[in-house]
Amino acid sequence: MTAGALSTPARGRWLSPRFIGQFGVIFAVLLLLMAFALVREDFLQIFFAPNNLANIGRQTTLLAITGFAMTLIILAGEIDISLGAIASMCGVIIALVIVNTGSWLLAIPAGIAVGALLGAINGLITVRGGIPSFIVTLGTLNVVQGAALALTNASTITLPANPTVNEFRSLFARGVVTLPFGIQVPNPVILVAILLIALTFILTRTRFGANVYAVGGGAASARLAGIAVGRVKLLVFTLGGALAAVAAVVYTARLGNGQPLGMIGYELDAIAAVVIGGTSFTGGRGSLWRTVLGALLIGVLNNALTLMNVNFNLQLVVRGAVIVLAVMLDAWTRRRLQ
Amino acid sequence: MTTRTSSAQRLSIPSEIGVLGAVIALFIFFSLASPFFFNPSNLTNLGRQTVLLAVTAFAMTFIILSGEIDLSVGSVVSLISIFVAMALRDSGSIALAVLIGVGSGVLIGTINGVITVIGRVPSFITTLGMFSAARGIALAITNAVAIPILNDDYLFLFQDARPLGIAVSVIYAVVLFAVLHFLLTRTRFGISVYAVGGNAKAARLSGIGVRRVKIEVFALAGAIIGFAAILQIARLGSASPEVARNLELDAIAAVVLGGTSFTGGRGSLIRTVFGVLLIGILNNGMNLMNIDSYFQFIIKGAIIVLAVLLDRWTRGRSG
Amino acid sequence: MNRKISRRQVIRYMAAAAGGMMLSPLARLPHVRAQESMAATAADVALTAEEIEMIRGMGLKLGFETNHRTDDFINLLIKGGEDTAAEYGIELIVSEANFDAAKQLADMEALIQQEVDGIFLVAVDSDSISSAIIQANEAGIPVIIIGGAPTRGEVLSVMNSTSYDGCYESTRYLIDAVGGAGKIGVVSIPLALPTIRDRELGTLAAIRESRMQLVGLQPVFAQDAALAAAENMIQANPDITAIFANWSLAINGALAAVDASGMDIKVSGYDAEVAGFQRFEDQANGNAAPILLSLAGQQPLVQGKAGIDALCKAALGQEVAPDILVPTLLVTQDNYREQWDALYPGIAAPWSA
Repeated sequence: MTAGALSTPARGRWLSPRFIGQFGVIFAVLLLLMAFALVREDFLQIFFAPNNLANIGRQTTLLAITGFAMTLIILAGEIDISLGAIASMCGVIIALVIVNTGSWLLAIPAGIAVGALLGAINGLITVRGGIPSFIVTLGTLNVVQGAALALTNASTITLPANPTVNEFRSLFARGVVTLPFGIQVPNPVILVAILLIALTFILTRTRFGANVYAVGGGAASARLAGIAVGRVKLLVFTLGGALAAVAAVVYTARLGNGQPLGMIGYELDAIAAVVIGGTSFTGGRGSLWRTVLGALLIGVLNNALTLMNVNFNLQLVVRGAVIVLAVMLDAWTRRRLQ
Repeated sequence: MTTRTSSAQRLSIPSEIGVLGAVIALFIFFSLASPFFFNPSNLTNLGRQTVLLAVTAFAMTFIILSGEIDLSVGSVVSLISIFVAMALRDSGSIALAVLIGVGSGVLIGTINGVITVIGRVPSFITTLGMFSAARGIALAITNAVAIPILNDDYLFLFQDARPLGIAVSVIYAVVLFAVLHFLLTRTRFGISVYAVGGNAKAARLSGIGVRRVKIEVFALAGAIIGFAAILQIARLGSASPEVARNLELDAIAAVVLGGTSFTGGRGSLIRTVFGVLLIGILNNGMNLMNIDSYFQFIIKGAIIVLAVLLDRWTRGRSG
Repeated sequence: MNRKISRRQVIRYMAAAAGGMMLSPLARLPHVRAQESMAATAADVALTAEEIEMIRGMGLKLGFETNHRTDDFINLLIKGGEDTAAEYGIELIVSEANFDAAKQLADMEALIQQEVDGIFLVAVDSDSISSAIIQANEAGIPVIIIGGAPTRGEVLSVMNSTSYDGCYESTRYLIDAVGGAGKIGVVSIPLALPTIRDRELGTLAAIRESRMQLVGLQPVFAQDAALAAAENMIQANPDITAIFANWSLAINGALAAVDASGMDIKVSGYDAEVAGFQRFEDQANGNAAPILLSLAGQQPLVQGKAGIDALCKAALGQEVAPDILVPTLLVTQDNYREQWDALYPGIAAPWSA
């Protein structure tokens, strides 16, 4: 892990071969869309319909937010494969609080607190125990999943359809914001945009953000530079857990329930979104907007393949190939640079 | 991240006592706690149940020792199972089926290795792609319908035979262990696996072909995983596209529980056997004690974390 | 009516629907359905008062192994078994396989090891369970299996919901309500179980008899994937009028998709769990749009009890029919409150709180 580009986040590289490498993936997706257009003549019409674009936005939200959590953790040189289990647990907590108190205003902070706590536990064991985070979160993944199942007795916690719940679901899932020129943007997409701006600000404009890049670029040199490596990592895990809970808020609003295993599997998709975006898997280099790009790529692919009625099994194959190709392309362009 | 240690440290035997002690303690605990645990037929069960995990964990040990990771193991076992079952069904030849099992394992492993090494993609990502793709192919070619294994000779050879009263699959696992242990500790290839995982740059400077060794490791692991698939379908009596979900995570847990360093270069197959026994005994014992399935998750997760923490402490953070 | 559906017809339907793009999950299916003639009902295996007394004196120990434990159906199945076992003074050992065939085999071996007197089993898949069944045969332990007969080995009997009929009936209800013509999509689950194939075939048979056009069949594992699949179906076919979802969480996903679309699309399904009843209640109160039309509800409590009853019959040395069929009940907006009491007797309804 002796990457050359250390602590500075990628900026001002719009015309670099690196960006062209990114563009290559987008280009490949465009090619695929065109191929679909040849097979089904009204495909582009359907795909680019405002409704479908809104669908893609909604379908990508969960992945983008979990992806933000994973980006922060990967940037700091760690990994968290329990994020899906944490998000599922938070979804259950949110649903339980809404069902029992009727207040979503209470449920959201409760969910986020649980997420942050679980993230902090992961961070604490990783930092204090000196154990690779993959192993720590492999363990806690089992614990959190078992706890969520035990808490609900494996049942789905369904929200009743009363005005408060409808308000909650509309605010975080179904509602839209109308922009000038009559463009309607789904609320969850707005949420992603707000998170993107806020988190990017933290990463690029604060001391904590710079420390995250420094720690991920090389923990030893970061320590020499006087950075409290352990504390930075602990904070990153905590923030990651809290973001997983935010994803759970959207999940609960979108599906109208909390399911103990509902978001299991999102951790792997989130890792895929992060690296497809071009964030370095070994830490220290990358950014959040790239993750949005990676999540969008997966979202567009899923959406287009289902629009074309391609079977779920083949979608798995395509997804696997795209993950590897995107990262290979990225590695290749990076090498051409040097 | 820990700094890498010298090769001398991996030979120190005493540090293995911690894991072995945990295995023995667990064994004694379940023997006392459940009247069904310590008897010959359950020990045979325990052996058979643990073989699949043991063999995949052997493959994972090589990969982790060389500083890489493989998340595709479960999906690949299920895909190769289907290849083997189809070959057996359509040709009736056990030799051909075994050849296809091991051969397709080598092929898939080599693809993982080449993409990782030549394509310079982190193996976590390469095998995450394979994880998705192999499962999709398995589901697509079977239409999500399992293929029964109806060849009695095959079932006898890989499951039902009991030479000396020992389940034949356990004997395969032991022989495989002996061969792989020899390969890892007594051959040039084995030494270069440790060197590559311990410090790739130093290995390169000392004239080891790092890229070639890594591709060879992936190919070897693929062959072992192919063999795991061959045993697996004999045990289940069918090849299912849905089987072996999460096998990779159990295999990684077994390797790391044994005390092999997650970052490569330090560890051994014996340690992996201990890790496998720990998980195998835990699963079997919890079942016999009828522990609620939700709590089985919780206990297993907690033990993974605690065992690794303990291992770290007994080594006095020397790593 | 002729419910036999030929392989060629299925292929033609799927190919037409997919424009040749989709690999049909149904194209190569064997069309073996649960034997319905000669099948016993749950009432046939119920014990008399004297038989219950005899069982009380026997101190039986039974195993109850399920393929997973993540939904209401399995929970209620287990509850049905546990309540009955408690009533009869039977020790019941419950375990679950977390959708893993190898784990299920290990679970079964643990039960055999504990010398149980019988096993009630929900298989992960009906092929992979064969070796466990053979081991149980060797140990002389009778097994009752849900979901389909194993490829090898002998079971005491196979218990099934009327999956084909249930899906046929619920799909028919949906099709009739939307006028018998138009476009319909199906959301399913990619599990290797004959009972799931029966569900798909039942739905396809109902579609084939109507003038509906099948625009897609997507098997998915999770409710958010079902939601996305339904959203995309709606997008690709703006004139779609009906969606059928053949398992519980897919129904949640389909409903959420139609709710969000604001379009006039109706949904029916197979499985009637708490969420479905809650939905009917919400629709009755005007809190939710009247989208959900019908659900074919399995009877998990009845099945759990019937499983224990049949194993007891075997322990008493009596004959047990090789097939036990438990019918599904059609739940609609008009009868959901009565059907709750029929399906889940003694359990508090969502509206009783």
